[in-house]
Amino acid sequence: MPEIWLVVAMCAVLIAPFVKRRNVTIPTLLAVAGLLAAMLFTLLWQSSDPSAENFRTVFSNSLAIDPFSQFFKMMLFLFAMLIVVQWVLIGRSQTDALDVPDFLCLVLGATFGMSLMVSANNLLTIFIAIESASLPSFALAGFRKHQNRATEGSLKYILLGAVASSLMIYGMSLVYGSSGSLDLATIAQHASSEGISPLMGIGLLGMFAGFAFKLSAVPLHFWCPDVFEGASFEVTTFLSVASKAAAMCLLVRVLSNFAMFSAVESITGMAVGLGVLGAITATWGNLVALHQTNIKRLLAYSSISHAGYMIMGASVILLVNPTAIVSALLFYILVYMFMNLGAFTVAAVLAAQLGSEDIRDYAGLIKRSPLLSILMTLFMLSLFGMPGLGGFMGKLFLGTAMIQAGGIGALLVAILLLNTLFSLWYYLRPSYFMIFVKPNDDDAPSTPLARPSTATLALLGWCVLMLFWTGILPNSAIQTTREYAAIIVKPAVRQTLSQSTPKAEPKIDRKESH
Amino acid sequence: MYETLLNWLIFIPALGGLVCLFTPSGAKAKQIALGTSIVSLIITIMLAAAFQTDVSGPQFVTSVDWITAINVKYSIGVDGLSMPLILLSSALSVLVIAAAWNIDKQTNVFMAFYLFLMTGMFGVFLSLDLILFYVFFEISLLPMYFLIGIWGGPRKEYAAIKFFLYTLAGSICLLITMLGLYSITSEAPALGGQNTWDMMTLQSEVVQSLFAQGGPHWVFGCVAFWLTFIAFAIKIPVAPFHTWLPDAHVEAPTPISMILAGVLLKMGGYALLRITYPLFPEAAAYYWVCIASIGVFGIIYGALCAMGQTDWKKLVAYSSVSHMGYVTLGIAVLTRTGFDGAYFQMIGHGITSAMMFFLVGVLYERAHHREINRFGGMWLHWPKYGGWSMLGFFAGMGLPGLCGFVGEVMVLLGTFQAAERAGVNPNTVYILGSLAAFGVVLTAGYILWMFQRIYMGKPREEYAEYAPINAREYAIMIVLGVAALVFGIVPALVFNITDATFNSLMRSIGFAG
Repeated sequence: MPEIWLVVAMCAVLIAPFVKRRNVTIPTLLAVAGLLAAMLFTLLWQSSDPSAENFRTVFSNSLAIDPFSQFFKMMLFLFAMLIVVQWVLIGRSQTDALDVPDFLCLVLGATFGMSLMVSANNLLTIFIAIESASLPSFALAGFRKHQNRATEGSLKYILLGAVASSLMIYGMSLVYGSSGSLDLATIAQHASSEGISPLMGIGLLGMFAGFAFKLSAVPLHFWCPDVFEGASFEVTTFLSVASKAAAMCLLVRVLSNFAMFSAVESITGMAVGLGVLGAITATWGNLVALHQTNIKRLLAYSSISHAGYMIMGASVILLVNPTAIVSALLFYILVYMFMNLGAFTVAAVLAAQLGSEDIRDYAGLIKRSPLLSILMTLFMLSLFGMPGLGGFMGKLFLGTAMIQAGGIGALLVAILLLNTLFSLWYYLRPSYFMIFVKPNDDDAPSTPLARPSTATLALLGWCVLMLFWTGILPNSAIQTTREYAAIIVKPAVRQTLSQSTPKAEPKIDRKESH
Repeated sequence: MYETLLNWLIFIPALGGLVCLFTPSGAKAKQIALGTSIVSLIITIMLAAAFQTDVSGPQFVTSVDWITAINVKYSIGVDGLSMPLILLSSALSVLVIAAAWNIDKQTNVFMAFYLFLMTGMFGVFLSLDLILFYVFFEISLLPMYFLIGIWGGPRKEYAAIKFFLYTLAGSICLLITMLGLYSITSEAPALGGQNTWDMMTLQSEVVQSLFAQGGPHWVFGCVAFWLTFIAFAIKIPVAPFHTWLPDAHVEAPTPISMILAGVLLKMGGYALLRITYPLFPEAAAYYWVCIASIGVFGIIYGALCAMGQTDWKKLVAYSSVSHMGYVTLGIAVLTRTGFDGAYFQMIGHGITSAMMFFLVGVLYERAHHREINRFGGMWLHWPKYGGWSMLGFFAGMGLPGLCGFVGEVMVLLGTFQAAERAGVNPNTVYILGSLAAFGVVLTAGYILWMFQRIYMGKPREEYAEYAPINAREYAIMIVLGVAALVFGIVPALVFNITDATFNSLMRSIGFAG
């Protein structure tokens, strides 16, 4: 269990101040060491060949240790490490030395919860994982305690989170009551043999409401822009990627279990429902983003619409061979991680120097800092989906996988692509002000901005490099995700299935042929 | 060796662009850009010399796996359909860079963006894989957005984003169709259950029969035909989708207008011939009246709008709408003469529109306005400029012996020939043909009227302050003027190259006539 190392690191980070007070370096190093150890352990834990039947569960089937979760955990730990790096580079100087261990501990705690979310294979562990990811996130959102915005965002987050959690646990109890099991595969099997009863339907709806909250799907998205605006850039970056990606993977696991039984009609209904949810989320996010002027809020709505794209993709898992779609989602998350990290980092550097998060204050920046303007433009274009950058490939893989689902898939793809058309407008807004607009008042400063530190530039450079790599030569990345996405459901379940329900057989054959 | 050259043709401009971007001196950047474009021109001429005119399929093909997970290939090649267009692009590029010689704001960035645009243009014309085509189609938008948005006129930001959004809307229609094709091709037994994006495979009879009337995907074929048609109609631009064009042209700097009208619009016509028509010939035949009417509407509407303009550049921009209407009409009627005419019209318009925009630009640079009514008597003031202007505008008007004539006349002939096609109501053809022929009269009307207002009459006093036209500007006019004359007299220069490819194209879409 790589997560153990996170717990160890959390304890170590909290003990460190007792050994040496007001030292910020030791806790930071301890946190990074903990994440590195977790990464290393993830690598060692899994066998070298991800395509083999490599699905294990621990703690009486409640946590799955499979290639899919391993791949995501590697990404998650890497990302958490990058967040710590970003914080050291930009945010640490603004944090009180006494608060440093708390901050790191919360980041590690949230990472711990998110990494459990991907592995959770049982209603109980799902709930525990979501809660242990949420509680540190609430605290992180309000970490800048002297700022009203942060407090407001955090309170909103907690209240909505509490509602979502209670909906989820109520839903889970109904699901347990109607199926008699906490195990995902058993629940899915029950649903296929007995059909989805109204009671179970309501239960599933409640459960998905909990997931939708984590994913910030409309109408449970209201926390997202306020939390993002109030929290510091590191926290915003962290929540915008890690928390959504973890919830996405959890959704994928739940859906993959249900996908074994595509013969049941109500499951098609579930797919349509999720597709509609995704479509509404993406469209709403994009439409509201159109008139945002705060860069954090703009990126918050952008992250809502990206969550919408991913939900649309995930809904198709229920209809076709999941390998293509799951690998496309993993690839999408990978790319999304780098473009969001890049965009937020540039915004953070600019906010530190300009003292403003308003994109109208970016006017004339191309003269003052050409490098940052170009980098911001690149990240924004990738988020939009310009060919040559990773964002396009992510959408392309998602599209090719979704279109296989026939009419529903084609409709969802059309909605997704139309949404990218809207999104172009606001993704070009920051660049529009930076490059085309001259500052209005004459006494606006025109001095060049200070050059960001070399480490910051290296971080940004790496993000750009990854975007070009995934955008121009995506072959190795997509092949890797394909290998890791091959098995999400316990093989034993699949075997019993192919004996008991002959209808599902051709689908399973296809799955194994890939 | 020629395969390698073809690859270099795409990537040399991009490399040159990168070098320009990091060259601090504007003068150096201009030299690098000019050098790069001349190298591209030499490569294209070498390719044209080695091009075998009796081969119908693509030549100098490079095909390697690019994204194996979804079977995308990096596959490029050149055939009769793309050869004249890459010659046009690389030749015009040299002239455009020469025309941009006096750009003094951020020259290195301008040249870099222009060279990136060249990569996009060559990529579009050479791609044989749909995804690759799409990538280059999109990549060519971005430099254009910045070229208009940074170096343009007073409303440049508006024009730039309008251009981007309109064309992107088209691209998205294309991408939806492409994804649909991708999922359907796995059902064609002859393709072995393999999804494909390969244009040549998609043009085979096996795939066409899927979208044939009564075939398994007839409805998809119709929807896809319309989606791809709209995608490329925006680019051409065909009349109801044209509104981005006057804005883009009016705000764009002269060299960018030249390349926009000269080459970028041709991407639309080229893609109709390369993708829409060969893939969905049955749908094309089914809806031919609609498409032809849209083309005729474009001819008349563009000409009438041009006639109403007082802004000289806007007049030329609307004349592009009108002239490109002939391309749509020529393709829509599905006759060999029509196709030939449409294709020649693209080449001819590439030359004349670039020349017309340049002639406008020369005067605008000195007068700083483009009001037609505030000019007059230009001929007496600058007889040489007047002479070359006459050549350029009359070529655009379609005077016999000049390159505009050949395309228009062949499109009209092709339209009337369509009356002989089976299942076509001759009366429809006669009405469409007569209306299109009336467009020629309107064209003569707006060009002659404009010519009279600007070049005839008494010279104005302020002309004395205008800087004389320099040798560089004359050179550009002369090259374009001579080209207009040569292609008008010897149109076979183009038809020799395209003949074999068009023969097989007509056979493939089932109208060998």
